[in-house]
Amino acid sequence: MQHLFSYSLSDFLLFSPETYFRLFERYNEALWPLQILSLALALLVLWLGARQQGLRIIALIFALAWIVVGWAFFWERYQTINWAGSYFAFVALIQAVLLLDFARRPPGFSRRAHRSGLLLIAFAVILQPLIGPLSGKAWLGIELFGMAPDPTAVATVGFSLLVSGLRRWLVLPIAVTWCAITAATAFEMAWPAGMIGPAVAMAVLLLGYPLQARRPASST
Amino acid sequence: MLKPIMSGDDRDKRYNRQRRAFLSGALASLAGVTLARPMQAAEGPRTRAIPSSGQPLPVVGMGTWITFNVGDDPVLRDRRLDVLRAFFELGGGLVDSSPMYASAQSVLGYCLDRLGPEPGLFSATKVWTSSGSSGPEQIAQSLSEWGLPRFDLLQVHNLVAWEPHLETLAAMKAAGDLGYLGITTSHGRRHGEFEAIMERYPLDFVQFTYNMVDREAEQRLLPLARERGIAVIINRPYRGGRLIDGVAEHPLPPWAGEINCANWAQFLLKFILSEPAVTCVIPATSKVEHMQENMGAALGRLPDATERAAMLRYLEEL
Repeated sequence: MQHLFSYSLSDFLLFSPETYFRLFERYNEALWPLQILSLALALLVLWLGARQQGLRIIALIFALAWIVVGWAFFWERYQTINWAGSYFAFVALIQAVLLLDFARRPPGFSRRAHRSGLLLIAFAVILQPLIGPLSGKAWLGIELFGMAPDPTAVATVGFSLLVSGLRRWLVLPIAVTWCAITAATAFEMAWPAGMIGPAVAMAVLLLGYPLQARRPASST
Repeated sequence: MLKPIMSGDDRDKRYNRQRRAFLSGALASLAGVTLARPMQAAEGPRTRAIPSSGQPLPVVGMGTWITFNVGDDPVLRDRRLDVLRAFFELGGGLVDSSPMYASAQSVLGYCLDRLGPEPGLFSATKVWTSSGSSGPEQIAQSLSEWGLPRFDLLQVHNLVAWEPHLETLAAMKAAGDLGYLGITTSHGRRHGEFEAIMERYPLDFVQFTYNMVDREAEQRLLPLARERGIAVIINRPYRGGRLIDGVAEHPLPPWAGEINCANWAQFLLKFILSEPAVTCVIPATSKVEHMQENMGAALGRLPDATERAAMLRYLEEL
């Protein structure tokens, strides 16, 4: 793969915005009505997170979200327009395994930064999906937490703020890397709205951890 | 069973037969594109000979980078079918792709299957794998995706593992399983190494970037290709779309009609085609109307040296 380093960022944009956006439209059509279940589970995450309860369930939902993104999106759809899709699918499943470990051995909620995490998850669940349609994409192509990679990655950054303990760092590399990839894709497609989600995630992450460091984490 | 390689005469006969059939339906479309000199359409699109064989090749081909990578989307596949149909109807020949372009090759196969056999196609793709031993497997996969028994041209993509791949391609050509072989680069990368290979190996084709802004190839690659008798395919004629998007809001110079340019696409492509070492330019598009504009560059006269200088001055002043 050494030859890949001789390429520039633009070389790896393999598809047009039209093709990319229609991929989500066809994805949503094919998976309907799973969107309702996805939204319900996302709202359950917010409700439990607000009450600082059920971290095991929250982690399970996040793990399930990455499994769906890895299999149904990256492997089944995205791979058809980007040969790297199969690698992304594999990485998404690794992320799911990491999150399953949180379900098996749930840490405590972060005492201070969990609010930042919860707000970021709320952004990923409620506001981020609206960015596409409000910037000209078809509503049918809406990107939802638990189905599309962007809001799932942003919400996972929020999850890392929500919980305490050193293990929270483990879920960040994949989520942050996908945020960088999707921001680069949006940049190359000249679609600035696509960079909003990753930018919000990075801003909250940079502010959230220093805040978290000021107070010790609570226990479960 | 692979088809035996055709002689130059056979190719010419096949080419002329296909050309007559397709041009009969295409001339009416072209007349609308080239209002400045409608009589040029009756002469048919310009061709240039491949130096190593003498086979004529239409000077405007088609790239598939990004535009034909639409996955399994049936709506977009049918839109690309319309683009490819227009390309052949307007006298196009060379279609260039690569395994790097994700689904582009399988989308081409979908389109070619629906257009019917031998619609004037000059099939050109690439081998793009860092392992020389996996080259044949990748080529077989590409053939399967295009739905063809053999390729007219195979190129080593961006010089990746070029030595073992060139050996493979030379063996295929000697066995009659391939028409021509070549190498590619883009974005002005690795011109020094590219030049060295051109000097050492008996290549039929080279492909690199050349346009009204990126003109480094004028220094060595284009003269060397001419000197060595190597056909030249030009990629990124619009700099990935940025060049034509940048000039689109400006008017064409008042003298554009004198070189039969009715739009910016033809202005930019004719500059490239007026370089005599260039055999074929491969703009990519996903729209039939843009394909019509592109193909119009194969008609009418090309700018001379004085006009080329004026074209450059005009572009610089925008």
